[in-house]
Amino acid sequence: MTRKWITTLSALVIAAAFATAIAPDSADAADPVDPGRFVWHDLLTKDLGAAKRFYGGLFGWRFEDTKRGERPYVLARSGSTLVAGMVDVSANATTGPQWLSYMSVADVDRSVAQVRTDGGKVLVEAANFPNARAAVIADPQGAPLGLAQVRQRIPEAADPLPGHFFWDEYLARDAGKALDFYKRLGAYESAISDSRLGIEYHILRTTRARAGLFQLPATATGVEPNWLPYVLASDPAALAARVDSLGGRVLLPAAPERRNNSLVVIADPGGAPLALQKFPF
Amino acid sequence: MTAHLVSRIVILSAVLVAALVSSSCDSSSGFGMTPEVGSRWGSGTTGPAVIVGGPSR
Repeated sequence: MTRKWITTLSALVIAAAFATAIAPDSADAADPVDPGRFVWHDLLTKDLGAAKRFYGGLFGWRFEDTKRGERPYVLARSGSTLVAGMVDVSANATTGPQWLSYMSVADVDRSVAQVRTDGGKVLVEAANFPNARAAVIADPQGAPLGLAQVRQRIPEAADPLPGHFFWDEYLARDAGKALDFYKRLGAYESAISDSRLGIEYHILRTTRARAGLFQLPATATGVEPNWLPYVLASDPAALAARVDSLGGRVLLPAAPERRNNSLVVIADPGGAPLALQKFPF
Repeated sequence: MTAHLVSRIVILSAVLVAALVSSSCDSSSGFGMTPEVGSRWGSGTTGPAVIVGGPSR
């Protein structure tokens, strides 16, 4: 009798554990999407091996080789947390190495239609994935961006951790037009947080600050409008000192005139740019 | 004694099931979409010389 009772209890506990693992909690179910939040970053690269060596050496990321269809796809972890993906774009004729940020939207098909109406282009039509429906667009200034309609809330740390993405910044050719476009697309409110030296820095906010936006100065040559992802770094200059030996290069070294030495911008071995930022700074 | 052993098995099983399910969800994360889009930072770029503002919470 006791053994039967224990067996029944065992089955119930296992079933409960299974259900807990696969079901979103009540808070997640109430707000699974959180529009305007940047929920994922994929590296488009033509050399997955070099990318793994670089990011593994720089941030201590670990990697899992998977596939999306027939194409190799690498998942990157910082500690136990998934932080990014890496996809081989060798077969793409015109794709340049770069990080592609994904912004959460409530309805990706509606957002894609809105992008077309507002002057953008659809680079990859919406498709279903296990955890989301997603598309890739280019905004009217040509910057690529992923749009993701997630089906289950992705956990978000209260405070950013070193080696994790924690910010995205739009470098605009025309800040006013970019603000109009992204306030509609991401349901953002915006506010200027800094206007020193004649450069206005805009914070894009939903339930919290989600991204920054500023206009590229005319003196910044060779940069087209883009979303630049940020990884948190305790000491960006120390990381930058290791970039060359890992096969990358430093695009913008730490300097007093760039947030008081708290920011560096690097390129990985393929040339994909990435910002390393100390925060708070 | 038997109950103690069974309870340990139950806990281990629950942990294993949760880990397996979690791992399965993880491996399907991400997208891997491959747009045809050129680099936005060209070679020889100077980038912005001055950058103000910055991340906020």
